[in-house]
Amino acid sequence: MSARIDGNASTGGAPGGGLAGGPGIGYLLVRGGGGLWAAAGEAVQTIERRADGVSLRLVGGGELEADEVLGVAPGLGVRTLGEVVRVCWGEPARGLSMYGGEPCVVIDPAHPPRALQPRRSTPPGRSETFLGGAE
Amino acid sequence: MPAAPTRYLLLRAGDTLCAVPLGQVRRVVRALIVHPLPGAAPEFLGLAEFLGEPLPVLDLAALVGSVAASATSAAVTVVARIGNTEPAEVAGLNADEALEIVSLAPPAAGGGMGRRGIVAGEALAGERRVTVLDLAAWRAAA
Repeated sequence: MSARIDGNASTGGAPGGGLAGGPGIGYLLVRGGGGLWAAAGEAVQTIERRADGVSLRLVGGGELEADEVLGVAPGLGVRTLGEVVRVCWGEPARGLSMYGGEPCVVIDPAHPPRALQPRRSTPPGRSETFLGGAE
Repeated sequence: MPAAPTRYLLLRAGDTLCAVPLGQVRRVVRALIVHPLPGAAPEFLGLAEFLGEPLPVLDLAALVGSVAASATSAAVTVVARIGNTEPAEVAGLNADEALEIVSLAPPAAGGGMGRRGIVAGEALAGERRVTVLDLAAWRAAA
């Protein structure tokens, strides 16, 4: 059983096939790997529910795993990473923002955070794609 | 001629008394709620919300190498300018107590000690030995 929303169908499609081209999703907020993360909708192609969380397939072909999707934000004020975060955390990101009063990291889809890398032990199957862009 | 005294905020971090130049301190608040970032360096506690913006928060005890580091029991967050970049970068320093403001003669030249190089030296505040910090000396190398 699956439910799929093709966001780009309603807008005639968008180059790159991201979610932002469809129903106006600016950023997806996900929790996973011990953190709160924002992914630009334009960078996310599909979101798939799995037995132990959600899987996000990125437009560039990468894949992320998270515990849950918290919501969407039409826009986020994104601050560039300062030196303290760059030095002490050491992962590339587009910047930092706030969502629901909590800081979040805006991921760089070309360099997803290690904390969201797919866990190879995730059992295949029993997945449900419930939101996705054109492929 | 000895250097003119400078005013410092005296903090306790674990078993270490630290003196932060008052000119580098923006605000002292009750310990902020910190959200850790996975895989961060031990002195980096995570991000907190401060005035509606994300604020990186550091563990002062870990920065100065205090033996009794107590990041989880921090009582205060000192919001301070760190490094010497323009525009100024602001970060939180979690400490156990903010004690008082003292005037100290700046430590002799040298410094650059401690994790990230922010320890400028030692001084006496009355009979108490304190670790004098210079947050502008923050450096990338641990």
